[in-house]
Amino acid sequence: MANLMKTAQTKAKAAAVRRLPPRWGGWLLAVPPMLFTLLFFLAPLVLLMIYSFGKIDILTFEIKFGWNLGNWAALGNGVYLSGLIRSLVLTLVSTVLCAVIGFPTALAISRASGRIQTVLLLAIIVPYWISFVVRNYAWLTLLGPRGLVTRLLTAVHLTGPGQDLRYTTGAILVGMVSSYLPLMILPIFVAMERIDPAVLDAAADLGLTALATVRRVILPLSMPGFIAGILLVGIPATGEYTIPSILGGGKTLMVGNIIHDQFLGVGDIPVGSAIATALMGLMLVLLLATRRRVRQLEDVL
Amino acid sequence: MSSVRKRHSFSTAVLAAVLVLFYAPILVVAVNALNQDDTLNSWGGGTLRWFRQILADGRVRGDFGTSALIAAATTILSVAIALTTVLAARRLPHGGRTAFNMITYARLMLPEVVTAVGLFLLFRRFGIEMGLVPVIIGHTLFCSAYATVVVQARYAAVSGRFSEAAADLGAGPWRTFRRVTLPLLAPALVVAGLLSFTFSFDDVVSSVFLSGSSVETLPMLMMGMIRQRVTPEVNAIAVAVMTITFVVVALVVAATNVRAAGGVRSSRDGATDDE
Amino acid sequence: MTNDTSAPAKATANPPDQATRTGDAPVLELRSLRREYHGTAVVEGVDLELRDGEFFSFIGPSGCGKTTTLRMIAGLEDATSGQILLSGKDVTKVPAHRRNVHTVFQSYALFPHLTVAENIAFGLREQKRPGQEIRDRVSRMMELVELTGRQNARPRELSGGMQQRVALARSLVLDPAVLLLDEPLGALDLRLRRQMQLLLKTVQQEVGITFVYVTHDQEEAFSMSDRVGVMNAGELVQVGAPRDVYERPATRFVADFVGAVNQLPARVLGRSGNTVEADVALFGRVRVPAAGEIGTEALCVVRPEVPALGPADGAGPGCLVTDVSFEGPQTSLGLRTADGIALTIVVPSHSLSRDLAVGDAVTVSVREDNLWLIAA
Repeated sequence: MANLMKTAQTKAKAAAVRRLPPRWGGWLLAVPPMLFTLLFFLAPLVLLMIYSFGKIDILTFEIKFGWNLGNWAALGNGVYLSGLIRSLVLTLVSTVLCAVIGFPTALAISRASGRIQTVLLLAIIVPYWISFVVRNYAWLTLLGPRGLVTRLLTAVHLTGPGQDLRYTTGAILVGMVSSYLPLMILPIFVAMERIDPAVLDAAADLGLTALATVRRVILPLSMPGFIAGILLVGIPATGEYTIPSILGGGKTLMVGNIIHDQFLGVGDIPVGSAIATALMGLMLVLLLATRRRVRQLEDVL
Repeated sequence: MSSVRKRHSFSTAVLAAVLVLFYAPILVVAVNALNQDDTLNSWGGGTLRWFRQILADGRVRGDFGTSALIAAATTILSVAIALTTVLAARRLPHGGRTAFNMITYARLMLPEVVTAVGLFLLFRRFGIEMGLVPVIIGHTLFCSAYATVVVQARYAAVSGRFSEAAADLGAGPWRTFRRVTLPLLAPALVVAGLLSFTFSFDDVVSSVFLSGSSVETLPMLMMGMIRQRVTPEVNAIAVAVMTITFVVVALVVAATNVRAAGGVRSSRDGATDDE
Repeated sequence: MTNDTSAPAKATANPPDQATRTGDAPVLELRSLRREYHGTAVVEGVDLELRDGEFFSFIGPSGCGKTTTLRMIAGLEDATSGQILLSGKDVTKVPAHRRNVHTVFQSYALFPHLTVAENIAFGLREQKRPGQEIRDRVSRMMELVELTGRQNARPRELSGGMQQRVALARSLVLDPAVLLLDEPLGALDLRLRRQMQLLLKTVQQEVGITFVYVTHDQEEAFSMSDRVGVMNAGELVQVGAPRDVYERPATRFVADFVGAVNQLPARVLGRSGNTVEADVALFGRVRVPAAGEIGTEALCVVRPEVPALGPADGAGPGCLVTDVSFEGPQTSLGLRTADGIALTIVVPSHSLSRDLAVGDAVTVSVREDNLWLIAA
């Protein structure tokens, strides 16, 4: 009985510190954001799902609703499916590349100290604030037949002279990685910073080489950062529209473009809705799968 | 140990490569904005011609104003939503707070096409014309999420015991908010606002879907110019946009230093025990 | 049910209002105070009356409810049931910012965006006092806590001890009816803590305000308080002057808490007046003072400093030394009798022969009125 009281005591203390007395009218404050979210975030998603079961009349462009699975079946065939798969593969490769490049980068930054570290962090974050359009347009210049990168690669015999590297899958990859890398580096860095330096000392004390320490201690302990990074990169990247538009040269290469065409081009909204809903579902699955780690995500963010 | 140095030099090399990856394109754009050669195949000498051209271009100026207007409106809405969300979440039971958090993160992570397209359907359904307001709402959707994360982090550090202390000393809820909570939150609100402004100004997806035929933002104009491969004007616009971003970043850094000076950490952190 | 031992111990229960001087209304009164959390009571049935100008401490192990009780007095937590009265007025439902009670927090909670002077002036500004009055009161308070010259410093520039004093000044300047202090010295090192204890005691006597202090450090509470209240698992187990609580613990828990490590089984044989006749292990039949309701099976509390050490052929039961721990001014000895009864005693080091070693035979003797009987 005394133990029960004691645990309740500690919980009460913790809760009282965390939460302010409810009489301060918190519910009133919650109304505006709740209303906004309900109306402009949740309702549209529900609408998407409803529309994905509709069917469009080609002649009148009117949409009839019902439990029409036609759109979903359409996802299974040719054009859409290959686009979806290509999207997913591209995203996967981009995410993996980001992770592979991001880890040593975060490591190097965490090894820097004081002023230099702050400067490095800023140097990593600032490009993310420069619009995607600007950054990826720049790649167009660099990857053109006379572009600097092309000339460099020709010099090391990785490609023929005068090759136009724009509008290729490789160009999109470069754009994606260079655009999303900061979102992978930062969470990993934050996770690394949380590692108790005493643990690293213990590893050295137990005879681990620097490489082994990285592999067996730092890497596993940075896992929450990886998870956060994969979510922050992988999910938005799947629906990326701007980068394939610029570096894909107008050819429909990724899901974002496909959806755009359905809605603002061809006009087959139900199919577009189905694709968007499928994307949404995929993201939900990913989020739920890492739900246990969401707590750590909060810390990292 | 040489193995330590080897590991060090590998990750440092990667870091250097990453920095080149980030800044080389930007530098190229900046250089080309001054390039006389309009085919951009080589350096044709320096010139300010492209800048003069975009300043004279009414469409460019108009779109710049539109983007700025939208960004300003988005910023105000986003910061307001972030502030109310953070203040409310504190007072909700555990389940409510988790729900708020999940919705905030969902807005951050869900691909923008999905949310933009959903809004497209919503407005169409209720007969609202695409244009300025739909775009602002679309931007606010994700900008408010970023703002919330920023304000939330700061609030967690400063609330709780300071509001208790204020109440203990005789300040009611509103007075506590005005005299303690708000001043301590201010730097975070500034950062959140600047973040929202930048992201809204640069946004492409929501703008494309929700602008309709009457509204054009600067990024949209740039996308069109890039596709049509018209002139190197785009470089000049890009440099102009980048300059704005850098100004914003400088402001953020300044605000962050102010926050550090104001002492966000516990009044006991860093206090030495000597007299 | 609270045991009040501020009067000499009786074999029967004490009348409840021993704490009040005739004619004075208590400045703080707690009646059946109770706080529930998720159906479990974390504070239960607390009754207390405090005089004006008293220095009172709540002591007890972590999680016993002392901080929660303090926060309820401050109004930072709601009482589930019961009443809190300040100078006779029921303030149970009054919100914190309207109570004339102020707190010195464990983490100081100094406003980081305000200077020292602005921190101290905070409550006065809230009361809309005229500027000159605020300035005067703030500078007088800063003198009192020995902080002059630091008006424009920011909290983060100050050492822990100085921040502590700002927190004290900030609450004290408002002239509260009661000042609450929640483990304020926990973060300080030993030397600084002693200094601050002295300062707190001096300030309290000079200002004459009732202090309610919460700590888990029994020595600290004893040295500063007029009375202490021992709490365990949400209940106020014993209230009394430090010496009374120390020499006459009401229950086994209190005895353990104040360090009375020797508790010998005893059988009660009869009562007469203040004392009880009992058969105590090791010491045999004795006539000793006792706590309130005890049955036939009891425990005899022998405080470690009570037994006197004698040579092997001295008076009193014999034992063997099992442990010798030199602690500076005193030495702690572990003793064991032939029947296996273990005793820990503490003697001034200078009174011990240097050759005393483990295995030596000694005798112990006690004075009957230094023993104390409690319920088993």
